[in-house]
Amino acid sequence: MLNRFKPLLSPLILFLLWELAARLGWIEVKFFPAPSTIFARLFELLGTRQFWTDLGLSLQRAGIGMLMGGVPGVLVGLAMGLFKPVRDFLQPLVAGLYPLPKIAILPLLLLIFGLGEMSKYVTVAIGVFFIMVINTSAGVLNIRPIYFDVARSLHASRWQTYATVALPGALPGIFTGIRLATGVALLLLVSAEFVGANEGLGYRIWWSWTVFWVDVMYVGLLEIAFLGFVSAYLVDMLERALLPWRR
Amino acid sequence: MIEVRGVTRAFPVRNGEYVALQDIDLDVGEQEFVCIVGPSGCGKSSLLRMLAGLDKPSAGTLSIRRSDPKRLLSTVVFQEESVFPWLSVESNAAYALKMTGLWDKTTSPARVDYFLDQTGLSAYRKFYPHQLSGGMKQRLSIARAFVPQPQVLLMDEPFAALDEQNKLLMQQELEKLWEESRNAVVFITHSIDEAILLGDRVVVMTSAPGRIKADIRIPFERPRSLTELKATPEFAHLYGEIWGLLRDEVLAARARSLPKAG
Repeated sequence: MLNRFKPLLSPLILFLLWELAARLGWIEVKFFPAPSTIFARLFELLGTRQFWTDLGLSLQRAGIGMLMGGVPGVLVGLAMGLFKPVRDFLQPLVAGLYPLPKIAILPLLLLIFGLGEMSKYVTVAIGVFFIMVINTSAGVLNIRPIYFDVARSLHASRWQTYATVALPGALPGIFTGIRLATGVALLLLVSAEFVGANEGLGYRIWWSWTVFWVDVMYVGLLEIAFLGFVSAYLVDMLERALLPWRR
Repeated sequence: MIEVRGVTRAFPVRNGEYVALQDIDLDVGEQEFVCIVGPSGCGKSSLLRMLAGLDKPSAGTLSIRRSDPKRLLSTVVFQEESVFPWLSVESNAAYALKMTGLWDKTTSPARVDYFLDQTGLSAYRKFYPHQLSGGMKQRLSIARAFVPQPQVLLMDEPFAALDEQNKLLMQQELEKLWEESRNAVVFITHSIDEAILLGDRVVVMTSAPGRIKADIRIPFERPRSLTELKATPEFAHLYGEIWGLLRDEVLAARARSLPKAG
């Protein structure tokens, strides 16, 4: 029972220290309002339609972007892991493009896709795509060759081998990718919404800062932290359900 | 059943090529258990991989005659751990039948049950390999190889990684399983004991390039009790004979791996 609440311990301690610091006047509450103030504002905002629109829109953008980048990312990653020519051909491209900060090409994406939803999807998708490519292909390459030998010694067909060896063998790598990708998706989405949106979590944070409505900004930050926490938890649950063979 | 004719296998190395196997001729009968012993690096595993279709000879031919078109030609038990970590014990055991389209809803589950039972894994059928000990995993890969009832069983030092007590148990269990199934077996091993206890014939190979040095018939009746067999003078005699043949080869292999002076 106690174990279930273990993940809440460290955030709780942080909030307590923060509250203490605010109440004792160690920090400037104009810029760093106490958690109690932030949570009071949060409960107030929970009743507004704007809160849910922002949250819903951001979730939708993150979700669609992740699918748009993740599915092709896994497929390209599998192809790179399985076929050396594909790997040799794409590796330099992936190695060169992956470290490019995706934020840096945001102006370009806005130019190409406009201020509409598509530019947000694509920003998220690009970041997620490279992470999934790299982790999936590493996942395939980490499969011990003996497992392919077993399939080959039974004259398993190409597709049987992919389905029974390559894909399940790569799943741990794919999950590592998904775990990293959810964080990156939120990161990129919020940045994209800063500059190119008029609704959504990122926009709300930026806007509330410019109008100096600081506690509203903190509510936005809190929401993002919460989303990060929940998505990590969901990915763990999914992994446990799909990969019961991992210790 | 198995016909190996003039098989040579060479691997390219930095300056030229390394001949692992040279001019191998070998026949294995339909119900024959043949053990192959030889020093490290004599190409025994290479021969097995070629029989399994995982590798091709540089020269010569290997063929396995198919006597029953509905039976699977061969399965392999590898030395390395090779059960799939992502499949449960029973799915691992069923893998070969599922892959080859030989799975039959009415008869196959019973075969899986039977061999899980014979290898002492029935209670663990829903477990995953990471929950099993090393010996259990190797028993599972033996069950996986027996389940489809192949015409030929290829085993590459299957017990090499096991401790001595487990090895003894597994040798006896394998002998028993094979008594019932009577597939043709090619069994690679380092252990002279194991070769005499299990084989109908023991083939002794030379150090690299590996050739066949001797082919010795093992006269013991089956079913064999391995512990009793070990105590007989005939066993000691065979052991001495095979060790005599092997000793020179091991020394030769050792000399080759010494750094050259000057």
